[in-house]
Amino acid sequence: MPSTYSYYGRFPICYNLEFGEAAEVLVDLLGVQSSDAKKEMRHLKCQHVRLSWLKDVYEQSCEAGMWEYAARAYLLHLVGCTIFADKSAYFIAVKYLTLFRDLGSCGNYAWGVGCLAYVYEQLGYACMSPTHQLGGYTTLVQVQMMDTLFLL
Amino acid sequence: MGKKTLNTMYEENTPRACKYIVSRQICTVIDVRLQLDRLTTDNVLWDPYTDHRAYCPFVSISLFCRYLRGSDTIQRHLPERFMCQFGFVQTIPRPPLLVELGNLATVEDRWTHFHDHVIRWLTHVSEPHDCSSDYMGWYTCMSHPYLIPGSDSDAVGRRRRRSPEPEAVGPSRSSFQ
Repeated sequence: MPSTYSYYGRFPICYNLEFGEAAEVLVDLLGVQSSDAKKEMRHLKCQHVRLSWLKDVYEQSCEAGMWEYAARAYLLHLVGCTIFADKSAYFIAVKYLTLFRDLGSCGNYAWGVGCLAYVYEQLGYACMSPTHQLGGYTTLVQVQMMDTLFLL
Repeated sequence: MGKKTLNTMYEENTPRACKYIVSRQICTVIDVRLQLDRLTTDNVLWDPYTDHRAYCPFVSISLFCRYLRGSDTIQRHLPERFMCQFGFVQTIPRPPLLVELGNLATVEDRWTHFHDHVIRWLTHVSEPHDCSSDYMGWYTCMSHPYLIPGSDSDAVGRRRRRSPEPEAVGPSRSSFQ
């Protein structure tokens, strides 16, 4: 990593996690029981969690006064609905949670850049004939289109 | 895609997406493609953000023309391909493969020193859709003017792709004429 960061922030990079790593991340960063984390991911057969499950974690963390866990659950839910939305609009990959490990510095990521890179990748997939849906922050694509083209 | 309605309460100091109210009425893909095929220059707003700049000023990093990283992907970001949006004359862009990737450290380094990797030598437009004299010839050869393939007699787009010389480009219903 470079020693000096761009004025506009660091790239928000995260890597795919193995099942065990993802469970550890959920335990460390959301304060859930290991068995609950594994059950949730096994249910979905991948290293993802449901947005509705995150909402439950958020509410329970709030009740328990565990504000860091609550904040991370909230933020992961937020990016799962917006800039890193996948085509299901129902799950979010656990890897994105690693971006919120340090709540004090996660604001220094260039989130807009992450959003663009992700939507570019998704637009690439959408150009392939077997693909029928577009993932990523589609609101951005739609607003750009509405701004420039006078369609009905 | 939902049909759009303008939000009459919109003010430029709020996020741009607030300008529209999207109804639940859905357009079909074929419907949108037909509309795109029928677009003319008059149906395109080339510089939609001019009024918004007072609240969201233009910054030079918008002209950063290299690779971006986010999530686990690395993608080319080439604003040189839509210069009219920034109020600059559109010229023929580089072939994308000429924007070389380098290694991960290079990608990070260019982002950190973004000032050295922004597009330079730009000319401000006098008309919003201004482009260099050779641009339209290039565009009609490289682009896909129509989304819905017509009959052979109607296939202006396909004919053009075989004739790269600009003088072969006649008037058409293409969006950029």
